[in-house]
Amino acid sequence: MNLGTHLQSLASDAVASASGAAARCAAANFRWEQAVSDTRADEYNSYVGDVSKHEDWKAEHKGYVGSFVHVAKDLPRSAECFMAVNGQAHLNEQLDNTPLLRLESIGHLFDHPLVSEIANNFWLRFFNYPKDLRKDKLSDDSEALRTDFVEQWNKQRIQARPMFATFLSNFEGGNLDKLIKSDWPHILRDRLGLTHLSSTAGKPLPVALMCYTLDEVRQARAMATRKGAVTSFARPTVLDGEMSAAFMPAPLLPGGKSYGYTLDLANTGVPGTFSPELLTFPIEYQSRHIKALGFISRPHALQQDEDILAARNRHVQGLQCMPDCGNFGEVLA
Amino acid sequence: MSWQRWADALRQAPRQAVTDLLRGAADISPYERVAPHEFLLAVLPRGSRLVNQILLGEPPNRSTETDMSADLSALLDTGLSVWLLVQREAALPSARKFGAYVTQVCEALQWPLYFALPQTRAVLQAERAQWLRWLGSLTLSAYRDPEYDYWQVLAAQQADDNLQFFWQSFVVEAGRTRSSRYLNLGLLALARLPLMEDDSLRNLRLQVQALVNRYQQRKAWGAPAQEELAENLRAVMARNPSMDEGKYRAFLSALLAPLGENKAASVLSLVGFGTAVQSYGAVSKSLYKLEPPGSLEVAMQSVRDIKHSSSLAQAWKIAQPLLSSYEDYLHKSGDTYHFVRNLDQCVRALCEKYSLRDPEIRERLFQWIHLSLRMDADNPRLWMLWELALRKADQPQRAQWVLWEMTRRFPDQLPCRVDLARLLAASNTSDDQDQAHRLLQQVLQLDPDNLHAHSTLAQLAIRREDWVQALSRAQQGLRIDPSDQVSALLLAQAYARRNEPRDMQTAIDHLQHFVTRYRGNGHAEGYLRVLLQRQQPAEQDQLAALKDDEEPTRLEAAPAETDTAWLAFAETLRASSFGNSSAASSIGDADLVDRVLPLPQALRQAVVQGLWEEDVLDRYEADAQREFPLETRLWHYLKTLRTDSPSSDRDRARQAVQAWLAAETQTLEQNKQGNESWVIYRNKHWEALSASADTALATGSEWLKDLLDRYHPLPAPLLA
Repeated sequence: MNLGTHLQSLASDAVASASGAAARCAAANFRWEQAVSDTRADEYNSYVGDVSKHEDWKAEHKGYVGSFVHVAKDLPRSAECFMAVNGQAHLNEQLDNTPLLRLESIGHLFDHPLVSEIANNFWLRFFNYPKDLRKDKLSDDSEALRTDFVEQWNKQRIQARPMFATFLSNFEGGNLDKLIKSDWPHILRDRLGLTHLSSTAGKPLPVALMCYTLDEVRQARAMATRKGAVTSFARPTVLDGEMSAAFMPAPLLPGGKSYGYTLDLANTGVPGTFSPELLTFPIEYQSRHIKALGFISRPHALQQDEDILAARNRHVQGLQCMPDCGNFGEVLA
Repeated sequence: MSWQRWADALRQAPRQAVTDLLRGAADISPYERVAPHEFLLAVLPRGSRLVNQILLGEPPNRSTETDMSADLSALLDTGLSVWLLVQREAALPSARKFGAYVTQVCEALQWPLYFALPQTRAVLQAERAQWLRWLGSLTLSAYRDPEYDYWQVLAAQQADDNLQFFWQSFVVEAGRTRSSRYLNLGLLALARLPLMEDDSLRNLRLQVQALVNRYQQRKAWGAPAQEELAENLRAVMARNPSMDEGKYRAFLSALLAPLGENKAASVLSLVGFGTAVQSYGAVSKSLYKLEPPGSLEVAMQSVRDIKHSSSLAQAWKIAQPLLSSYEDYLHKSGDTYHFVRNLDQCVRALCEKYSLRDPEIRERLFQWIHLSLRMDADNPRLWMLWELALRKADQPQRAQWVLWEMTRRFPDQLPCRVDLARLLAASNTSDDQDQAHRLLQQVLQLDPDNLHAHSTLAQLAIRREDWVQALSRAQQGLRIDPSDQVSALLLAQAYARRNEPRDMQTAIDHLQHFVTRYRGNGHAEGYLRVLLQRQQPAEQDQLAALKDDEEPTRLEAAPAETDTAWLAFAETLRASSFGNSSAASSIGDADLVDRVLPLPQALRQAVVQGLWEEDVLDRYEADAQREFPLETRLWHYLKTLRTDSPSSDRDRARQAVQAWLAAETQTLEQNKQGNESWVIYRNKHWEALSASADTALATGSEWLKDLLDRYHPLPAPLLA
């Protein structure tokens, strides 16, 4: 993407390397990003300003994300990624309806003093009964419990931030039941490159498997009139989340056909296929969206800087094998 | 795992590490993509969390927690407490970076919510008024509202029930003076009050009672209000499954009883409890009914005893136990009626008779008055009681601020305007006298025969030697009430001070006539004697002295206010008088394109700036608009006057306002709520608006601004 003079200098591999592996990866992402329009890049450069150190850039970047992407729920505008300014990254709005998957970390709900009891009651009732979660109608008590939990959860989701999601069809042949019977928390964490969903010693992370549809997303956007969103789906760009070594931009293919491609944390070779990733317009959760509850209890494989650098290099090599993508990115020595 | 580098930085320089984490500069890989509090939940020892529970099915620990991070929470506490204090005093950032800064503050307030951070908690609990002033200035929208996060921290750990009434008022106010998020916060916070073994239903009862109080204020909505009540009751019940249906039915029946049989049944039905079937073992609702501590007769006798008491100490001995018992009942029931009624009567009787010089009594009385205002802020009598108590406690400046606040909250209330005008009239500054004049004109618009307004205007006219006006006002006063001693005195004074040929004699004749006809008016008789003496030339020197005595009593210069809560309150009044009711005025709303003001403020801003073309209301949900039925209808009507709307639209909008006014009048009559001043106020303004098409927009805009000015959170001294 087009960066201002100061940022361009900071983004060079030579300068970024001096600030550590994380900075080096983040800088590479900016160099490789193709889906940010010049207008959006100008806006970004103007917000970040003339910073001279990588850590200041990172802080300003976070400020940008907080102001333009993770917007408060009641703002009269949507996250920038769904606005016209991000047109280059928009996906085909007319995709056929299909289920989407999303892994939600919900540990904070159990630690929140005002809602922990509600969350815990919900967990006690449904953790061992995922089939009940998938039922449309439960007994009055259970239904009230489930409804109250989802309402309280939605109330904690105070930002209308874009939702990172993938297609169910890429997992277990699109069979949700089969996926639920597998070790889905770790499978999804790894396949979707969610390094931040990492358990630490003695602290397994409770997660929820969420499933919603493209139509529900389209409907949510249609309801949110006057928010300025012109699309319901976009591919993730380097500007749509905090700087992270686990995120990598993907080559830009014409016709709104190019998704993001996640870094597989468990893959040890050059990947031949990738898990597609897209940003969906935010929806309010409903009871039916929760399909299973589980724990992430194992750390992922990429704990050291050199491990993640190597995984990124393999990922880039894989992307370069895609048609017309030979020049995408670079292997960082 | 570079987050450990941040941990080392925290050990070296806690405040800097906290700053870096909040602004996003810290290297906390692999947790960059989660909020800082989620990162902290992942890396701080489990024991440092406020809630530390093992979840069902949680995998056994593969490795025990090491001591590596055991010291971090104390360091975080140190860094965060200093960070917050420094930020509170720091200048606000530029408009462009303001949103990101507010996000940082909101995030910082999540940490003491999740973790035991005693230093930070102590810092936040102290100087509440200062925190609220600062946090209020940062609020960008309902969902970027640091004040909400602050209250949430206080709700998380409640050692006593001191905050109970804030939570109750949040439930009632939500959607009106606070965002609708406060409804949920209020209920969850009430559920977190300390438990009582001898009343295990208390927290549940308080939640239901708060919802009933909310309903009572919104019952004019009809079915939507009942549905809202039922929906919230269902959620409360889902969170409290400890009673079976029969017991819940009885419990709710007891608490819903004040709504009347039909409405209570309707709400119960919406909750899911159909018609009760009498059966063996059915639970009686009387089991759940709390009785107030004393009878009405006992309370009335106490008021009589206070009136006949011979000292403040004696009066206090009567009032104190009575009010304490009603306060206790209020704590248990959440029902404000009995406490407020008895407080109003007892304290009024006490203040009318005694000065509040005893610091202990004064402090306790103010605690109770503040409590009553938090619970029943729409009751003008309580505000007048507060003002009276402040005056009796030798705090005239504060009393004056309370009266100013009343003029905003109660545009229909005349006594506060007259009282304030009298105080201002006694001031030396022309600004104050102009304000007094303006207030009295407002009073006369609504009540042309308001005796006090005429007499105060006569007084003001005498001071500026506008004799025609002075005589006219005093004469009007006497026409309204020929026995009014004040008007008679002012008439005589005006003549005497003008001192044209025959004026002195006219003054004497008037007074002579008055004291003959209305005996027992000591002041009039005394002034008559003075005037008679003045007629004797030999006593000119004495006359000069007497003339000075006629000057109004000057207020002694009050000591400068030092209390931060009162200073914050005074600041909001000043801001309001300049037409800027928004908190972050130092930045300016124009620069803050992302600010989502509460509906009344947004509408007011649109009126002030003449933004009639803008669809201000479209940004707000129907629920939010329903809270302001008159204001939104009036806005729509005024819009049609300002824009080139077809006459059919204009007529429709006009009829909508009219229909609302009629419906409200009918509701007030049906409910026997004798809110006469409000009906007069509304009707007068509507008539004025309708009188001339040429001035309708200007008149209507001013009225709409007045109406919208009523909605703002309580003054800081009541929140401290």
